[in-house]
This record gives sequence, structure tokens and C-alpha cells, in this order.
Amino acid sequence: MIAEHDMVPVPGGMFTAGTTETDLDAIAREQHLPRAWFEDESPAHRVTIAPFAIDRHPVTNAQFAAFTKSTGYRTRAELRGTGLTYGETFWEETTGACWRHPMGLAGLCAVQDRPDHPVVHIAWPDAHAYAQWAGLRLPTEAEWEYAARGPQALTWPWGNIFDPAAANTAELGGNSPITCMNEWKTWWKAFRQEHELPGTTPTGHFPQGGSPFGVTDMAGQVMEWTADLYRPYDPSRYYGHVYRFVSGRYRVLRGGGWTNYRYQTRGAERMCADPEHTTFCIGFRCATHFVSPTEREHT
Amino acid sequence: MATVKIPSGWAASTGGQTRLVLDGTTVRAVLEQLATEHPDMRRRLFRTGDDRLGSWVNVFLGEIDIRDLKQLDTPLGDGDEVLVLPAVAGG
Repeated sequence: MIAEHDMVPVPGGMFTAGTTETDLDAIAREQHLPRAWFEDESPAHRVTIAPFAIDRHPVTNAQFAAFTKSTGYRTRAELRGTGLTYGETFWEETTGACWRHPMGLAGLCAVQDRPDHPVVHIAWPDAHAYAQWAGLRLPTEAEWEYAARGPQALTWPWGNIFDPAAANTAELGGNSPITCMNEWKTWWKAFRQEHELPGTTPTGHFPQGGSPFGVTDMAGQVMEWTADLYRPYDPSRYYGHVYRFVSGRYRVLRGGGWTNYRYQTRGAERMCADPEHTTFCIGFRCATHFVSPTEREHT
Repeated sequence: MATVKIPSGWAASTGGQTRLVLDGTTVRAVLEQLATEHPDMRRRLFRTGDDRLGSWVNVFLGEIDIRDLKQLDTPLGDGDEVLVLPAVAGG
């Protein structure tokens, strides 16, 4: 292996992926976003997972630096010359923002200042290229969800009750849930004044937020690319024209990021994006086939 | 006349409408009209300080991304449907 990866073996098994209609109703009652935004998590369905291994934490700036140093690879954001950051009230194209300088050239240097934070401003082809170089692959959407929720399909990696201290989300350090856009705006206004952006944390910073398999950073921190093209769980069901159109075009993102609130960081939450899209909230982790103890002894 | 279709999540910016029939012979013209009639749509569509499309949004004419056509200068015919999508979708 070219880059050092701490990979967690995940035994094969079955679990219930997605979200039940009853739970969707509860989510719709408890927060401000419309039920339709989450309905693509339905129907809940049984999935069989073959054994695999997954990165304990997202790929870091130091790991990504080893890749670019070895290959000369330039990411989509580097080639564009701009990266998306969130300004006072909306997204902004920031000149020079990319994985090396997540807030632009005047901001911090990711490699020197934050080697142990997850790499951001990563497009799907960037993640794919890294994984190939490392002799790994991106996890499938189902593998990612199983690694995050475990056989019991927990709501968050650590359990079914949200713990704001267990993950890097917009609710970290808050005294009450974010339940409307105005509360999010209040959080964002204060956060961007008090913190150097992006608001990632060192990987593994919340060990109490680990999944049943010991995989960390799966709720919040960075949205993570998976291998899969976005597809509706039930092809015969109409989830809305956006989901219909992006089916087969966008790639699945999982886990939510440091700007998201509790319900957007659930293990069943599905997001998807244009594969070329990058922001200062998007990173990835890698997976591989299951490495048996015998196999490990011979490598 | 062309029809512009936007996500239901943005309908609060357009008085509840998700399909808007607008005048214009290019994508730029109809999106500019959309932003003029519904000012909250401007930041969802255009970069601040210029009239370029933000990378947080994708615009399709039929099945084709206008970035693969003539971008905002892509010509429109009568009855064409323009679909505006966020680059990230989901809850």
C-alpha cells in the first residue's frame, strides 16, 4: 500500500438500510425541512453486505498530500482556480480555494496547519483517483451506511439519541437543537467569527461518536463521496422531479458535514451531488475487500 | 416563451411556483427575468458581482447541461423547458 491507511474490518451481515415511513414522520415533526427532502431514504429495506474494510477516518490532508506529491495530480478545484466556501449569507466562489488552501490563498495551509484534518474541496473524480493510487476504492453507499449504523441500523453511529458532543456538526457545543433556518443562521454568524474556517476537526477527535465497528467521523465532519451513482431506493416511486432527474447523474454523498445539523448527519441520510462539485465541506474515505488475519500476516 | 422548472425547496422564493413561463430567447434572458421577478432567486443562480452562473447550481436544457452547450448564451426555442437544479440535492 502506498499511503498508510488505518482500516477497520467489517464482517459481512444483513441490516435494514434506509428509514421507515414512521421515522420519516417523526423527522418531519421534529425539524424544519420538508418531509419530501428525506423521503428518498424510504422504503427501509434489507441489505446483505459482504465482508469489507473501511478507513477508520476520512482521508486527511497529509494523506492527500502524499498522493499529489507522488503523482502531480491536480484536483478539479485547483484546475478551476476557485472553490466554494460559504460566506456571510450564501455560497461564494473563492479564488484559489482548494484542498491545499481551503479558504483561498490568504487562508490557512491545509498540509502545514491541519495535516490530521479531513481533506476538503474534493470532487468525485479526485476521490476516485486517490483511491486508485492507494490501491483502494470508494465504499459503496450500502457499505458506508452499514459501517456507520451497524447491524442494528442505529440512527447515529453511537446510538439512537443525538449527542451534540459526539460529532462535529453545527450543533456541537450548542445548548439546544437547531430547528429552523434562522437558528442555523445565528449559529453560522457566530461560528465564522469565532473559528478559523473550514470548521473541520482532527480525525478521530470524537471517539465517543464511533460506530459499532469503531469507525469514526461518520456523522458530520465532512460529507463523504461514495462509489455509487444516486438511484432511488424504489424506482417506481415518485420522490420529486429533482431526485428523478439526478438519478444516474449525481453521486451519493453520506454523513453530512460540519455545517449540518443533527438530522442531516444520520446514518441513513442520503445526499447526492454533481460529481464535479466541490465545497469546503466535502471529502471522502476509502474501502477495500476484507483482509483476513492470514492475509494480513503475509502483506 | 420557455418554461423554467425549479426545485420545490426553492418555491418560497417564487411565491410557491415551481414551473414558471418566462420570456426570452436565451437561457440567460429567462434566468435574468426569473431573478428580476423574484429577487431571492438571484443569489441561487448567479455569482455575486457578475452575471455568471454559480457552480452551486446546474441548468439543463432538456437532458443537456448548458455548460456543455453555449452556457448562458444557449438559445431557446418556443416551448423549451429549462431545469434548474442545485449541485447538491438531499435533506
